Amino acid sequence: MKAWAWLVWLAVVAASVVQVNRSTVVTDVSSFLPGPADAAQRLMIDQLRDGLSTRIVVIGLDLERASTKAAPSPAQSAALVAASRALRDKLAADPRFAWVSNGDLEALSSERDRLFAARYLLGPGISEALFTQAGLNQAFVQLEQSLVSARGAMIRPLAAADPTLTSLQLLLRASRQVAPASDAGVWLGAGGSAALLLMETRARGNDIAAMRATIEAARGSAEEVLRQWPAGELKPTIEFAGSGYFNVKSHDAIGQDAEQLALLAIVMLAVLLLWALRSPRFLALALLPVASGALAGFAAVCSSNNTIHGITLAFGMTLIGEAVDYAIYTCVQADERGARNALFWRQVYLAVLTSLIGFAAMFFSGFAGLQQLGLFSIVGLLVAALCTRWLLPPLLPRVALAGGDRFAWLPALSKRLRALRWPLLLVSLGACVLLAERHAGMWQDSLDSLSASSPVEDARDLRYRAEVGVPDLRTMISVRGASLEQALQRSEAATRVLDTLVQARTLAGYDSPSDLLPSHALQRSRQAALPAADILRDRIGVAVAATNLKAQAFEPFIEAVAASRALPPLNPDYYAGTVLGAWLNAQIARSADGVTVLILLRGATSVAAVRQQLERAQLAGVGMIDLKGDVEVLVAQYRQRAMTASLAGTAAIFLVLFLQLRRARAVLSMIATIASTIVITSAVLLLAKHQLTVFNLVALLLVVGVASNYTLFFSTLPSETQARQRTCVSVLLAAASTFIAFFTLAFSATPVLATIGLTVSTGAAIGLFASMVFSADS
Amino acid sequence: MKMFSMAVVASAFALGLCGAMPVLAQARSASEEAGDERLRRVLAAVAAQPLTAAPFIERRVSALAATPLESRGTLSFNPAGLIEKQTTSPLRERVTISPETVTIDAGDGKPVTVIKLEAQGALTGYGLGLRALLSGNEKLLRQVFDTRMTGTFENWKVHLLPREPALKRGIRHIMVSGSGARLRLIETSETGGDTIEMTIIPR
Repeated sequence: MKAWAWLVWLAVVAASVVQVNRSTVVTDVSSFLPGPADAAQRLMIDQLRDGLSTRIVVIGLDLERASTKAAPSPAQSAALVAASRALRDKLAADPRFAWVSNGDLEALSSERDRLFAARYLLGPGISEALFTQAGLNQAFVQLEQSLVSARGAMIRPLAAADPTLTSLQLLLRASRQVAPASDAGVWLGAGGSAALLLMETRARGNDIAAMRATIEAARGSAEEVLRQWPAGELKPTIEFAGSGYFNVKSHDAIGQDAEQLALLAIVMLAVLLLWALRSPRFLALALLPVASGALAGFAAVCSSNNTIHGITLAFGMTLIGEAVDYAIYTCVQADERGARNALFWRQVYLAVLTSLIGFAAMFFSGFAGLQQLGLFSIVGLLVAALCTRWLLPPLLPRVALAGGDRFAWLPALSKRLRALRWPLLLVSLGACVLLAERHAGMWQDSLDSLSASSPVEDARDLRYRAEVGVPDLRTMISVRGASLEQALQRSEAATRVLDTLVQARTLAGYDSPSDLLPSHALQRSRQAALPAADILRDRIGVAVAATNLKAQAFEPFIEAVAASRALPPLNPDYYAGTVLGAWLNAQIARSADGVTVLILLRGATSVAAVRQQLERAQLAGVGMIDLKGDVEVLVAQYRQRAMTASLAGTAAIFLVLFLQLRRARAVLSMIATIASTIVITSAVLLLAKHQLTVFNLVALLLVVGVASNYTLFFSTLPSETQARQRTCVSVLLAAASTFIAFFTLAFSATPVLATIGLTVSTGAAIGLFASMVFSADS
Repeated sequence: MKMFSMAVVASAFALGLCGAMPVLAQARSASEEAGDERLRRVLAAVAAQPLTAAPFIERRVSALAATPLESRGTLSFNPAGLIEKQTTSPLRERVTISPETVTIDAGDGKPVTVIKLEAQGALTGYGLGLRALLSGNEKLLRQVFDTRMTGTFENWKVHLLPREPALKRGIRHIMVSGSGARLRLIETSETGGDTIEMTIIPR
């Protein structure tokens, strides 16, 4: 009779294995977030997923961890500089990196040359006024004075070909894109104790495998370089920073955690169940619904686009805690002889149904991440329950609870605990008051709640980026246009607004693609301002008369101006193969419906003020991207949806319980159990962690599921002693196994997993206690 | 075209300072004549007479100018290692060199530029050379420059050739001359082709 059931099971497992095999696990935050609502959000999500910020990696050869001394010795400094140069050469030759910089300007000569050659198309000060007689008179007087100043060293080599010092402005502006190196000529951060290199990977930040290979290649090169480290000197450690690196790390951390902790949980569960049930055979069989459920859930999520989020996977694996319950109930309580059996299966059916309702609420929330979690749980639980119902009973050993006397105290305890119902209600009320009071700042919606990096690494990341001058990539201005030309013209309008903000010190500076690549219109207007060679020569003759300078020395200037008049307008490929070109490329995004250029901001004291000024100017196509702020808004939306879904789900669970049981007394005690479990668990978490995240909320939904199972059995306790004892034992074991599985998870280094673990283990313990307190006889 | 970032700017400043630095360098080396003994004697003599706001005239011979470009100001240094070159014409500017930093203050309200002296750099070379001179540390001086002394104690010349690559990129050679403890003239030849004569005017 059961042959068909096994056939169906086999088919499901086979199909799942096939699906799982061709799926990949992703861990980037963006794929877990709700889908973008508008073009600006889409751009933001794209940037978060694989934008420039995900491809910028900083590598540090850092003595900080190796040494306790504040400053490195001269020998160490010299070795750091040498290692920095060697590593730069190695990485620059590696095709996995678009460009590499260690701050060494000798390596940037082609950048300098290109800016210098195009100075009269790029110079912000190029205008007709500059080339009038008055303008040139002033320029030459100033030049003469500057030549003898301490700052003149920068000017002297340029002056013959560029007496107006146009290129100086360009070079200083571009130098912001390449942060100040130390006097040693390369970046030495952290008080000189770390050699820093900045690079852009070709791998995109969300391509975990490629990014990992890239990071490992960089690490390998660094290790090779450090083999030349002088013997006897402290050796630096190799450190990384950058979001691409963190993506890889969190991916590996989630995977490793899930594996190790699942193993640990399984071992502990096995010990517990062996001790309680004394049946190794049960253990093996209990795995059947659990494994089948997890496999089917995994496959179901992957079936849409062959990917599953690491968080979903990790969360899904924790369903072990609930799925194993079914086997425990079945094993301990099932009784093939009497009417009790029918009642028992109805209770299991109700338990499954209530859990499903909770997860269905998540599934219908419309948010990608929640949908994945919901789908995984629904399919997983359903398959686990079906396996339990149709495959297990004939195979399971009837656990006679041979040493049943060991648990004789349990029903008595649950009876005695009933005295605590009023105190418990009072505690719940207190918890409600606490939650209401802390309501305002209760939620933490920043991306950090999703991140897997440690505070130490976050601090290092910030420091490294500041020291090599990576602009704040979380706040950007996006400028859209139908064509690159239009987008650049619009960026030029935006930079005029930004200039006023720089003057007002609201902003330290910005990097606009239109600085390196002015619109053709602007380039042509600058060309039109350049005088013909003869006119320029005459004016120079007049201008130098007031100085000691000699006119003939400035022939290179006249030639350069004449050449610039005839130059074709610059295009992005003018910078091909240079660091400037790489930045430029990264700041220009082409799509089917136009071009978006990104203006990067530096040192904004108030992002809100920048946003306000831009909005006031009402510039076409100009928008603001605030990755941190926008993500917080998205996460908050996500959390509110999850909250609504949870409340709706909980209400639905109560409704189903009432409709199925139609006994007010029992339903009332279930509602009391679930409600007090939720509020007390939330209050405990809030007291322990100060703030809750969306993952606490999602985990609470699971708590609702498990607590409703416990109370389902405890609110309808049979009066017959043996059956009563079996029911109590099965719920205790189920709760203990859930607690073990999730408490293990609470020790995960991945914040998301730890959050879920802590929430569910706390909830399971409180839920068991509450269900005993509110227990009732059937 | 030697600049692109602050680092280049920094070394550029170093070059800009070479008028001042050689003065000091020469001051130290001035006592030396034909050999280590004389060099030591000159160093000791110059070190014993710190400059306090000594007026100078600097003449830069440049391919860009028909006649030398002139600037004037005062020069000071004290045994603590602080050097100050104050220019009064054609532009006001104050350059201060301490063992750790070089500070340039144009006095025009623009931010003061502070450059840290760190390992292996051009400025460090200067800083070291300078301190070597001020403290009469001949060994240190020779680490930074190939040092050769000619003349007599009453009329000496110290020839300095940079040893460090970073320094070599800006300066071809420096010649300091003086008589006894008095520093008279610092001639610097830059790799860019300019030569600078800084004359310290006796009070």
